[in-house]
Amino acid sequence: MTFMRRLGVVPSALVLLAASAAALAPGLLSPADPLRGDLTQRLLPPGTAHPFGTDELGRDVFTRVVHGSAPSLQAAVIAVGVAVLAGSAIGLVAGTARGRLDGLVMRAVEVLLAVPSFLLILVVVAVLGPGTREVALAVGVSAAAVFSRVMRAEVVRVRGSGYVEAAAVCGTGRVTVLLTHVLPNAAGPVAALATLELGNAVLTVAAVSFLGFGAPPPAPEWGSLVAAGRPFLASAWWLTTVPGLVVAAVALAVNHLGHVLRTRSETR
Amino acid sequence: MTPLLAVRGLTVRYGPPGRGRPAVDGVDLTVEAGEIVAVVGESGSGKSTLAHALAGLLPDTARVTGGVVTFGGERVDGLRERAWRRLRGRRIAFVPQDPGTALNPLMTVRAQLAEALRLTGTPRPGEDALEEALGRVGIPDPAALLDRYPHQLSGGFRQRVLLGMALAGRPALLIADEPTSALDTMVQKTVLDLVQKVAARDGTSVLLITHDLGVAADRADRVAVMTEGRVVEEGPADRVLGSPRAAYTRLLLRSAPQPLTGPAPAPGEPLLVVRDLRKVYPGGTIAVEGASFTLDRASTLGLVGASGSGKSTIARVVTGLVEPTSGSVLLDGAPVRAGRVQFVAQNPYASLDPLMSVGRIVAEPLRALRAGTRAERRERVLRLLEDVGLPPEVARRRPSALSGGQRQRVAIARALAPSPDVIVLDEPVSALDTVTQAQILALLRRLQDKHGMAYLLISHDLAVVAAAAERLAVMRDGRIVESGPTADVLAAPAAPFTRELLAAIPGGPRRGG
Repeated sequence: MTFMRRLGVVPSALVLLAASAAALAPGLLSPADPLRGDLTQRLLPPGTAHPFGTDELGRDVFTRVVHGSAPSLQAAVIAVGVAVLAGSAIGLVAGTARGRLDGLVMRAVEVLLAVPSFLLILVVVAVLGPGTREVALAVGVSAAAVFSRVMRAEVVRVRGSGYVEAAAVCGTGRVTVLLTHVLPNAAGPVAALATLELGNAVLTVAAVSFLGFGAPPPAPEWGSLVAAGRPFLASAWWLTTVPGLVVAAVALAVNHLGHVLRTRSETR
Repeated sequence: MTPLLAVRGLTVRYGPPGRGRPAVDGVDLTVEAGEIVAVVGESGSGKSTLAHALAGLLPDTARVTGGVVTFGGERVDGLRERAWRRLRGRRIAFVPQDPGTALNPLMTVRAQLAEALRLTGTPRPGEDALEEALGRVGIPDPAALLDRYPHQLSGGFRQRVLLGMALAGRPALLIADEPTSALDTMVQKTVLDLVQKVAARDGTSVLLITHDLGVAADRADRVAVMTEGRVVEEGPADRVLGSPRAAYTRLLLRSAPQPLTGPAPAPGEPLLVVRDLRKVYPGGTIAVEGASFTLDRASTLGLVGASGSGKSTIARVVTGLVEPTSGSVLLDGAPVRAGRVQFVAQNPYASLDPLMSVGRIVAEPLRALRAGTRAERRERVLRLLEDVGLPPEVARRRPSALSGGQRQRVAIARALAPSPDVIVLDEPVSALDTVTQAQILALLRRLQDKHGMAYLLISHDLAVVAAAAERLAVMRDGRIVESGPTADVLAAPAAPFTRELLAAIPGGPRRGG
């Protein structure tokens, strides 16, 4: 049973490994230029020369998917980073301060939660302008509210614990208690949520890029690849299906690995 | 006549087959009708697993791998869950350990009691049936209690409600798993009195699981002593406790706290002086009302009282965790400076940061006071660990790798680190087994002889305080009702409350003489 479960991790790990390799060293997997097409080779179905086929300008879809992973994954990672940092900071302040500041901050967070997150992302992108980094920031801001609530709850729990009291009797300063006792002990659930949010962010970033707010064409991005293939849905299915499957596979793999890591850390 | 419950060679294992020793290892036990049998043992001795096995409540990870259990002449080992459900609640009742978590917090007492009554065969229990069930367990005004939620009840009343639910079906056997270990001594006495009374009235047999030999001595007709999954001694209570045969029983008996005897100590040099302390919490709860006491240098003052008497608030004021509303706390005539009063909390499982190594935990007060260099601190930590009887390699471990007693030693080492004048011990042994408790009390005495600090020892258990403190103060409802040298207070208690506390110590008269 445990062996089978361990075996189940392998496909997810392989997908994630391939995606990271593509993001870090795209030239290694596909040395071709993602922007240059060969007009004699337009709209070819997947085959030996072009494993994912070619698009309407004769560009190799595999190359474009590989070169598109860097901005797509980068945006997802930045988004989660922004969400974790901003959310944790807000939660830490609210949970530590309590009282009126806590109430004020948490009500603001609830307002943020009440707005549909996709709408919030579009508003932020509309203000900042399109671009991979802008999309990442927008997705991060929309996810920060959840992190701040989890962080606050954990901080409140840990602050009431015996060891924080013991540290106070020892004469440890408030800031030191916060950094050495409260933060590390509150971090577990936040880290678990971050793995969950990463898969989510991959999807959301692709969705926003699909709408045309990501990197401007001709730069490849998973979401914009799907969008660009839409006019050829009837004649060249691979233009939309392949990048879509890649997004789905990566999101699933991240979620699965996150789940495995979480259950393992819980049972320990 | 066949006994009500007969257990022969019962063996229960956890985890995969063939690994580790069984949690319950070939146990034989007999409970006759109308008899109270106590199973005494430390945590980890397998007594709770035994209780759960006999009630058909073993978790999925446990398996019965051997033995025969008969109840009322019929075999019940290997029964399916459906068959158990017909038996449990009607013929066999179970009272769990922690009344704080055993009741559903979202259901009123009425709803939970009605559920229990329905299971015993009363399809739609009426008002009088519900009230009668609570009345039977000595609840004075059952009608008023029915619509309350568990969180509105004290621990003692919750345990009574659980008992009422268990006894509602007039079972033939009541299995009580440490029914009072989460309660203070006074409440423990009332609950155990009740169990005994109801058992005698209805002819119910009781299997009482406890870690406290005194409880067993007071309540049981027969006692079985368990350790490491085996019953090492079994017999009539008087015989087992009066002339124990097994070495382990003798160790348990020796570990029971013995009150300090000898002449009252001469008044020493006052170190910590608390005057007219008053603490009112926001919301108007008066926790402490005009408490005054003096702690002499290198001595121990015991503070005894029921839960809610304000003794923990005093601990928190003295350690500076809580500001008093009025009154003064002076150490050597001056306000307390950082590091001079240290604290050992009740629960060693909560008071150590689970993510820190033991070395870092013990060094924490030193870091806070910026005492010495890193190397000096490390050196000091090793000496402190040696002081509290822990090997040096423990410094690298996490608290989760230590037992309760070892954790409490770590907490003591941390309190010792800045060489304090006073250590406040808030229920330092109440979460520990009898044997560990005796070891920790002995350690505290040895450390006091060596380093000469004073202890303020706070406990609900008069027996523990009497075993460790030369002087004691008795608290009730935020006031100190009696104080003086321990031997005098025990010999001639002046306040009626002190007499009640004394009477509530389990196994008291037997131990005294």
